[in-house]
Amino acid sequence: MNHNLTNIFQGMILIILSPFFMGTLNKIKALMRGYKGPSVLQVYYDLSKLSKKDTIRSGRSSFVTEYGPVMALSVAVTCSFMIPVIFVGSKNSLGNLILIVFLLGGIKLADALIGLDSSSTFGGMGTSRELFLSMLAEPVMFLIIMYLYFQYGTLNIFEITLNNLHMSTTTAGDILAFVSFFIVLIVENARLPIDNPETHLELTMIHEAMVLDLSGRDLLLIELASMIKFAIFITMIVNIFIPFGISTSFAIPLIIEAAGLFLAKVFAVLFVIAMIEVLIAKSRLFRAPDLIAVSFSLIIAAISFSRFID
Amino acid sequence: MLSILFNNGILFDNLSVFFAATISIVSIPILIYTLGYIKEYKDIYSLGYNIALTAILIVSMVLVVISKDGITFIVFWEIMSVTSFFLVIYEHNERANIDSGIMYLIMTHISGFFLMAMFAFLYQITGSTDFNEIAQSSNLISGNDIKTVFVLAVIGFGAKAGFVPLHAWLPKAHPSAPSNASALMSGVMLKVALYGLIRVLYLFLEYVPLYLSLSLVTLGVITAIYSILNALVQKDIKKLLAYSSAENVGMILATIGLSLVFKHYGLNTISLFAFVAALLHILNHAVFKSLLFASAGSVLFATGSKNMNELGGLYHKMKFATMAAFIGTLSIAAFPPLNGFASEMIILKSFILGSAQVPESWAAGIVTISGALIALTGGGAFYAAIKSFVITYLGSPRSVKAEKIHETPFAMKMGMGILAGLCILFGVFSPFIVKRLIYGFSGMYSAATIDFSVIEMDYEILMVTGIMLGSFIMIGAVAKLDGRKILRGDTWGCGFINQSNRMQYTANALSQPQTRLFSKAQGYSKKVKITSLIHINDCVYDTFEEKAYVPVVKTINSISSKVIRIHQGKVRIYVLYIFLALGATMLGVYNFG
Repeated sequence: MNHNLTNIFQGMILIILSPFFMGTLNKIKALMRGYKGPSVLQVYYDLSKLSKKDTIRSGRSSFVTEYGPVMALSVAVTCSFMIPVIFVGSKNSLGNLILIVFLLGGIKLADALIGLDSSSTFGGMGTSRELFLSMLAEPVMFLIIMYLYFQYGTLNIFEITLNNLHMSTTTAGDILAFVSFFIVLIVENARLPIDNPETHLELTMIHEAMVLDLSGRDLLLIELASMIKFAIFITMIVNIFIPFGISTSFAIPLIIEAAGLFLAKVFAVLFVIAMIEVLIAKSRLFRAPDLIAVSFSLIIAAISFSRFID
Repeated sequence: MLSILFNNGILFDNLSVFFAATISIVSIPILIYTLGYIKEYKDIYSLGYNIALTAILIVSMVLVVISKDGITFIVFWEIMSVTSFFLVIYEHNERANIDSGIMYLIMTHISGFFLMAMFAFLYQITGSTDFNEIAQSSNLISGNDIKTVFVLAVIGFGAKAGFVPLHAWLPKAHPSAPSNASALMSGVMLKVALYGLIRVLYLFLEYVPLYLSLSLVTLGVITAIYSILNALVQKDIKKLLAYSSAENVGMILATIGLSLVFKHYGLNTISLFAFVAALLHILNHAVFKSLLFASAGSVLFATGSKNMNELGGLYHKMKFATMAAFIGTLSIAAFPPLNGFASEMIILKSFILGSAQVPESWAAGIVTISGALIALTGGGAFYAAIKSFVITYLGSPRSVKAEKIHETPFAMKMGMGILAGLCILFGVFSPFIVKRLIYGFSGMYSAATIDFSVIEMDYEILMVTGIMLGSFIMIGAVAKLDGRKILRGDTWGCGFINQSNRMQYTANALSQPQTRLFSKAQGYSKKVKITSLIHINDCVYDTFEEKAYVPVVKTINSISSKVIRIHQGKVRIYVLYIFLALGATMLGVYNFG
């Protein structure tokens, strides 16, 4: 089978599963807190409810509100075709990490523009906070890519997965880079302790504030885009750092095994995120740079281990 | 003048042709734009003066980059400086413009002085002012002479390109000049200075010592980070863009320095790659920055204001200018597949390749940290670009000025449209440009040492563009055709109904969070006084200007106020001065003659 077709196929699976991941996260959190919680499929119901509603747009909004959500979703869809999920072939024409990171920045860009488009004060607040945090997270992401290049000699995420698969040892640098990437995941996807996705309180909102004025179809598109972004980040962290079990051929049993292992690994990551969200309170906005600084220090340490200390 | 040029011949090597092409690509749309833009000044200032000076500026820039001789280079360089000075003070009824013009004139003379000194010094060593002859006898320049030429070139070209701390004229002169001129000055004239620097560092000097190359990287990174932090707190849209130009110049300088570091270690392949990254960014920045200045100009034309806190909601009345500015913003925010992304990606890639391959750990460490700071600068550019676009064009009008809008002429739209098209074109087809540049400039290195397979860009960006466009159309069509109604309402205010436009986020508010971390470097201060009302007074200044320029100016002023006492206004005293001067001259002749 053509390798591009397989990428599109597994990207589709990721897109379809992304609300399921979000639902699972909510379910795990509910169980940890000791109540039953909504079904894991609840997020699908919410999305289909949104799709049935009419859309209200502010009279002050512009083309950004009209096309921004479409742009965000198309960027998310494009990115999901560029990463390995359960299968990695030997020949890949997509998957440049720098390109993926900048593309994902497009979702942020659409959100930020939408935030101020309807001249809502909440939106401005969300935009300025989001841009502030993403500015600080940028060097960390760059250093993670640099570390991966040192370690695996390539910038292509498929080749990184493949090279890591053939590597038998895990170094200290890998663990540090993993933790660093995990912090970036939390910052970029507006999870606790940076942002509380469950509330609409003006003191805590970042992501929700930007999309506060959207409704109906627009909200559906932007929510789906952020879910896919979340799923992409989890898939990246799983397949870059713990790729064991990912299939390299089209044998059916191998694919099934890879899919099972992938889900197990994703659930493990979701479990950790849920644990953090249950145990830790939202921190002040100006404490967030400290967390990013921790992640920066970790990745600098990882680079020092792999590049400068032999 | 032209006869001097033709007697000495014209330079047609790849470097000159590349820069001449960059200048032409940007100048043609800007000239078209100028024809519409100058209508703003009808009845106030002379229109012919503006067009004539713009044309002379463009011609002199082209002549600078194709000059083959140090003398013609300096002559055209000075013509370029003087014409741009007259463009800066074009709106001479405002005192502030004259002040910034004078500052620019002084800085540009400092630049000219150091360049003349550099060419004189080169003449002393090589016995020639011809560029090719200097390049051929570059082996004569050695040891301390290299350092001297390096320092003279970096100060001379740096004062013109805006390296920190010689940048202070930039955020003053560019907002003062009419927008067509600031588009040219920011987009292209800074690049002419970089052209000179590249020619000296790559062709006149046989090698650049490692510590000098690394200091160039450091200088570039400092320039980039300092300028972008200052851009973030501006509320004047043209000042923001001017600082952002200095940031991009810093990024290009860091990449050039990086290329020289690699050259020192004999890593010719990635040295060529970093060099091409710098050149590509020179081209791309010229295109998108002149587009952004042009659209800022159309805002100024339509509303008469460049203060973002007075603007807002311009989209509803200026659809075309907004779309052009939107493309420019996406480009400067490095959104794939636009051209800003294309060059930022290969700049970051050359930093990654570099820190992996530089053999000495300490140098590789500097490269790594510089790369991280360049990435931080990229994040800041993302912030600043979104700020300038969102506050100006989206939302609702913040003052009456943004409501009463003059229609912009077709020529302006056409100029911006061409530049916006180039932004997309140079981004999507960047792999072809990179390939062309790599093969074109590989002649600067010995051919056997270049491994083209490592650095040739793959065509991934074309595929990604295709996928993205396809999914955009598909999702857009599905979303449009689902048959649901679109209702119009007011913005949701959490139950609050008397929302006024003044309650929107302003330019100052949007950049508030980061001032907590960076206000020291930004020269940003805020005073809040709470009585029955809340008074907020914030001001922005340039730290270097306050700390370094003002004391120097004060010292010179105090000295000259003392020297001025010799002007007594009495004839007999002046006759005494003449006698004293004569005596001193005779003494000099007697002693040294």
